[in-house]
Amino acid sequence: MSLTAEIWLTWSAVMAYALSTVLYIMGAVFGGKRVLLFALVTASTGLTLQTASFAIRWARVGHAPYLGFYEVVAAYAFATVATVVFLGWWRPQLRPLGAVLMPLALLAMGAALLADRSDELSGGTLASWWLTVHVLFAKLSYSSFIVAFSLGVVFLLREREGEHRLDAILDRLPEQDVVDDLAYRAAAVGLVFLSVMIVAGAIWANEAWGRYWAWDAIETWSLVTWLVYSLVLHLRLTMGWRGKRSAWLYIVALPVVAFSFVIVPVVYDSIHAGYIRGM
Amino acid sequence: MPGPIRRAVSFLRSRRLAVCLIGLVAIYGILGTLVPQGPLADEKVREWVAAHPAAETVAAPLGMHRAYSTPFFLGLILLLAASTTACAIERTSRATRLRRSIRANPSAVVLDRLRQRPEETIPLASSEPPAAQLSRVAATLRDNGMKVDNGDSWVTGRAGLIGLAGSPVFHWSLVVLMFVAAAGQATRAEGFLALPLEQRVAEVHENYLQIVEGPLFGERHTGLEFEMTELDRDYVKDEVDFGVSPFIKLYRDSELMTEGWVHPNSPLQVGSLMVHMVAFGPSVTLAVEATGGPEIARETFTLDISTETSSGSVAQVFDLTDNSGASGLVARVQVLTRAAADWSASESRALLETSAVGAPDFGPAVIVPEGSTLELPGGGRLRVVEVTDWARVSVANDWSVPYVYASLILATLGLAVAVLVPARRVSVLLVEEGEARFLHVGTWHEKRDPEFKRRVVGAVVAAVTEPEEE
Repeated sequence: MSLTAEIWLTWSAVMAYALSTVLYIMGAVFGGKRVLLFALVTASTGLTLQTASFAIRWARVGHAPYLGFYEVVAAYAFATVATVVFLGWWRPQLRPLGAVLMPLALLAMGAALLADRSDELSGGTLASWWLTVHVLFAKLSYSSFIVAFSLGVVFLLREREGEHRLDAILDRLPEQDVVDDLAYRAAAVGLVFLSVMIVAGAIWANEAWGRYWAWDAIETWSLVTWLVYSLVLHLRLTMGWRGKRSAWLYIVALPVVAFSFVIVPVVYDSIHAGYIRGM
Repeated sequence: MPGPIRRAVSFLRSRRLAVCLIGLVAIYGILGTLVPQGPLADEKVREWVAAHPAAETVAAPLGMHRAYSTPFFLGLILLLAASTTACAIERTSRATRLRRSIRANPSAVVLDRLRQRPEETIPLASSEPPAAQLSRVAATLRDNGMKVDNGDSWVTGRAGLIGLAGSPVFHWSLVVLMFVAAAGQATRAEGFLALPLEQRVAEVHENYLQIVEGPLFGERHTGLEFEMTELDRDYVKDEVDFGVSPFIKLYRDSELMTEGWVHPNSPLQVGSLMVHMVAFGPSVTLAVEATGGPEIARETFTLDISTETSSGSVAQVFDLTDNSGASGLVARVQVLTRAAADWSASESRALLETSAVGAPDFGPAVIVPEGSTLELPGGGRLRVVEVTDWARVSVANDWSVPYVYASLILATLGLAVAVLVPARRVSVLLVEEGEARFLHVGTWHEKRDPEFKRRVVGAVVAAVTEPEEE
């Protein structure tokens, strides 16, 4: 019964995300303010449905959605939509960002649904509060980085020469200097969240395995991600990289995050591989 | 400062150097993940070498199987540490300077600059006394969370000064982190101890099955005595199955220091010593009795389950030596058992193969229950005294862990403060030109927030145009 409800809720959420994606793109292309609002309401509904689906799964398998490819990637899709919804209600001017972010969320959900969705049972190694902090801050850092990424995209779109179809909606976004500043702030906050994730992971690893750092592939890639964003902020704060150059950096840095959080555990034979391939 | 030192300091303080080093460490980090890390004997490394012989011709000479301890990488980290230190010194002196200048009352030069080149000029109604208007500006800055100072014709507001400490704290914490982590690695020891059930094993170098000691560890083993009093095959706590978990007691000079179940996320700790459960297996106590005579040898052997074969059995050869040490080797026994996962000490029997001393081959395998004996090929009898469990625990002795945590947490806090609490200052000067009065506004935001000036000017305009409350 609970499994059926979970499947229904998940697919309903996917439908809502698909509709929201279409609406966001239509709103961005045709400049419809009401369309964007409708897209936001649809995304919020989808988010509520996915929350319910996760809650049912959590109750059944006894752990938060962090084990196995399906749970991990679906949780990233959830984090993406949560970011869209948060930005949309917090700053209505930023609603057009949904046109950049919702397709990412939909793609992630698609990838998650293609994977094996069997229940992964949590073992003793995972029974730690540090893991909760670790996973939570991984999602928060990812959310911040995708905001920086999407702001970088709209910044560059507005920098193009000549008139374009998207201009009507892009003009509703804040001034370019504010977009640039918001992108910086998102990346900076993301770096703080990523630091907390790494610290919590190190403490957890020491409790679980007796080493806070073992140069495991995923640990190293987390460090690489941290170094990449440190570099991005360093270039901005000490060498004055702003505007276009900064925007490019936010765009180029995001694949490193995606690779580190999702691809590394799949392709590397790592002690962390169990969390995404299944224990 | 002599020329070469000045040039070295200037090189280390260079922002370009910092950027290059961060980039290089990131790239090298990625390269290190392309090759399995560990000694050449490690199974993962062996498999990789067999599968990638061409790549190995490059990886091996570069030492890429120990990528994070090569002289190149260590040199890179050392240079990064030096650059971070130079950066931390610069940031500290900048933060101190800024703090002092923000807290100080505006000098005549600053006021003159504000008079000549204001960022924003707000005209004032002349019906209200200037002091009252400045007082309203001060009140609105205060309402916006700023600390306010004022003179006869000026008001300044400042906030987020703690943010100035963020970057120095972050950089200094990274310096401490690099230093402490390196010192910790050089002085730590980590190894595996075998703990047969209900036997005390001292934490000394000789008792380790395998141990890696840092070059500066010295002989700082604690001598603590370990005793495993229980081994639960299926330890469950708070409905979580932790699997095989030993109950371990640690003694110093027979005084119990600590005790507890050891399982993932629940290591046993005394001072800088941390004990984790790694694996378990069977332990067999064997004795040799001379024909018709007394016991001449007795020893307890632990079967290392890491030698488990593909058939799922474990086979290890043990030598029993004379208790008195007079005649040396008295028996050679091969002990076989099923895979450790299937092993049950409750079976209380051992599958043994024995050979005569000096003979190359073992006789046929025989199952010998606990308490029973087996005739040895060269005469005498082998008695299976006890069949029980042992646990292999990892013992790490690393004093640096709490300091590493502290510097990681401080670095994160410093970063958070630097990012989330930007220092900012507002200066407002009342300028009178004949009958007309103006407020000249100047703003400074550490992170150059483009909205800050707009917010400040908006708040000041609102303050001086709103009717005063009765």
